[in-house]
Amino acid sequence: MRFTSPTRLAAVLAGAALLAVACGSDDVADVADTAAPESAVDETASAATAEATAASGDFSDLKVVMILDGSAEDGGWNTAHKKGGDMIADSFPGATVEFVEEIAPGQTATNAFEDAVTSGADMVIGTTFYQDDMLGVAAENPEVIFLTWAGFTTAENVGHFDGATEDGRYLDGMIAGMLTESNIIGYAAGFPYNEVNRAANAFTLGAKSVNPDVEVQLVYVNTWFDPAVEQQAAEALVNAGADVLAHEVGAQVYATVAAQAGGYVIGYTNDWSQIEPEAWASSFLFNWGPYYVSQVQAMVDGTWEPALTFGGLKDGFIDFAPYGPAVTPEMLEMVETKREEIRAGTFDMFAGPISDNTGAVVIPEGDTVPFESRTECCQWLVDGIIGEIPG
Amino acid sequence: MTSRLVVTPRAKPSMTVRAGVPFVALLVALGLGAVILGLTGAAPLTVYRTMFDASLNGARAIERTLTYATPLILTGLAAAVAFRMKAYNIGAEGQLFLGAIAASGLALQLPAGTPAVLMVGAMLLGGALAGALWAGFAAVPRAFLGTDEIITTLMLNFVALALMNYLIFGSFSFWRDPTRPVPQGNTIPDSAAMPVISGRLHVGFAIAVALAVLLWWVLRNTTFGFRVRTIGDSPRAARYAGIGVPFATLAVLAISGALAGVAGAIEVSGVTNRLDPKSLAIELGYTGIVIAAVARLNPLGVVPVAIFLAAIATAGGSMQSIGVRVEVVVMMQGLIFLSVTAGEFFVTNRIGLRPAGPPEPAVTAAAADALEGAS
Repeated sequence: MRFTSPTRLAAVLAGAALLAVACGSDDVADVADTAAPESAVDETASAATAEATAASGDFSDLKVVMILDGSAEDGGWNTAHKKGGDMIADSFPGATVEFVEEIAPGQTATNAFEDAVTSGADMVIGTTFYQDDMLGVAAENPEVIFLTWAGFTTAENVGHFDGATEDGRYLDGMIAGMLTESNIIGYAAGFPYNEVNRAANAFTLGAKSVNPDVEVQLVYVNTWFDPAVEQQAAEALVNAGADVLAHEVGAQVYATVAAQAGGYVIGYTNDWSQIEPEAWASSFLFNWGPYYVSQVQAMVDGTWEPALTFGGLKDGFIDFAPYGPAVTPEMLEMVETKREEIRAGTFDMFAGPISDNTGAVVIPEGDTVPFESRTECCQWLVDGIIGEIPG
Repeated sequence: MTSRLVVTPRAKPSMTVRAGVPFVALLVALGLGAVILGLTGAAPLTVYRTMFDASLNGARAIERTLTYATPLILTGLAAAVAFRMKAYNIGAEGQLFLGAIAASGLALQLPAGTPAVLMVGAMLLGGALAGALWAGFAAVPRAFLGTDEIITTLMLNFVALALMNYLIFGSFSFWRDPTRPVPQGNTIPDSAAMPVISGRLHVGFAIAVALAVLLWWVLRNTTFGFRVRTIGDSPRAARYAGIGVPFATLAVLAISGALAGVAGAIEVSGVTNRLDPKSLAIELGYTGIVIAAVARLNPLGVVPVAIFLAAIATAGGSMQSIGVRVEVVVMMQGLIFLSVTAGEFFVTNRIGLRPAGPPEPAVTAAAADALEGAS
């Protein structure tokens, strides 16, 4: 749900306003209270905040504005970025960090970047593909530093960042491969493009590394977030025999559907360990905080340089939610070993030979997808995935 | 003796009432909003200043608001003209997407050296045609078979969205830039970009206003307009009068779709410069229905209502940067919009206290005069 559209404003929220008008001031207070809920998943995730070392000094002149395309409380993508923003606030005492939520790309985003600058921001961070909406604003405001997710055109005051989902996905795949009894894993993805395909490939490679008989049933649901459609996809995957559900979309339905079916669920930068504790298996989490803090620190020190940053496990960009009760210590040990190998660079998940699911060799023996060119991969699905890239 | 509230319609609201009521309504909304803001710990005056600066204060702010209003004027007109004839086109959303697909397709297909006037003209025409055709899928069954156009136009929105998403996210279509790591549309050539009036405000705004005036004139002064109004008021009477209802229905829904299609073309040419599903699918079409309703289906009324809504939307974003939560922002926006539109009731009606007692004689002063004169 996006509240960027003025329709909702007129239709839905006029209702809320009416309520506020009709009721006494106590009720207004209630409305105001519910308007600022605490994060439901705050405590559960990583120890990222603990890693943050508070810089000394007073940073009350420092302001960072973070622009999000959804709710900061979505329990997934945006919540991960919000944690990163909170880490900035923790690391720079006195600094102001504001979150601008529900901003669709396009003119709305351009205005939001402009408003952030007007409000006195020293740094503005966009957490989705806002590059084309903000380069103009950045050019007009050379004294402000801008960062956006997955952009590729830098400028004197513009840098971009992206995370290597596949580093986490491989390990989640291992868990799924060890947990499945039917040897069928369901995987719902949004749209077929490089990052999504690459993550599904890494997941499948991980699953097959521990369980060669496993099949990953992949469906593209053609949405970013649509609980009704995702529910159908999740149920269809269960009906196809999947006893572990993974996803790269957004809704929480995979957890509930997996729980009802007595199976397991793997998140996409989610922590549903408190929501469906029995069904919960694992999820990698994006850990943007250390990167954000390093960027703010460089800005404060005057050493900030524009860069394209692509970070994986070794860079601290990938973290993990608590594992579910079904994950045994033996499983954890295997995952832990692999995690250390990926971190140390001694294991390369894309080392050839790798075939796609039509039997064609896509990465020959001795070849690989180097870390720095990973974003150019993949327009193929690895052997073991039941599904195809449409179009 | 008790008294009770009575509501009587105002025959002809005075200018003071016309101008004064919305102003008072806005003050009421801001007053209530201040309470809400205060309770959430924000400083109301700072927030209001920021909202004003972001949407109305200065050239840049006005450019932002009018640019945002441009597609809303067009989708508002699309709803107004169809609803005037009681043809409920809920499909402006999808018709806008089709207009954007056609316009960006033309811009990418025509030689980049085509003169801007021809290029932009072709995009607008292509957008209008595509929107009209998309509306036609619902209009033909409605006109000749009596199919419920509310259902069909609504359903076609989802088809249009899926089509647009497919072109950018789901395939390597001609619209998509294959070199980008994140799926994005190909950038249209410079000659396809809408000329600029000032800063970010493009000629599309002037086109939208001109279309509003044109539509108003057509509905008011032409035979076609008379037919549309007659069908809207009474289809049976229209049929009795020999008006060809099916063809008028087709024409009106095509015009409605074309207006929405032009909105899509203008967004591509003036704002996004590429087919960009995420920035187009922000419910511009559905918002047009709200605008048309508030404007009482009057094409001239659509323009100020769309600008007002755009100002609220533009102001809203700025509040978050100074720490107001998005939920409070949307509540504030709703409060302002609701108050000002509800204020309209007081423009057209007079509310007074009347002491309880025997009902007043059901004759007006004028009628009484007439009676006196007759006696």
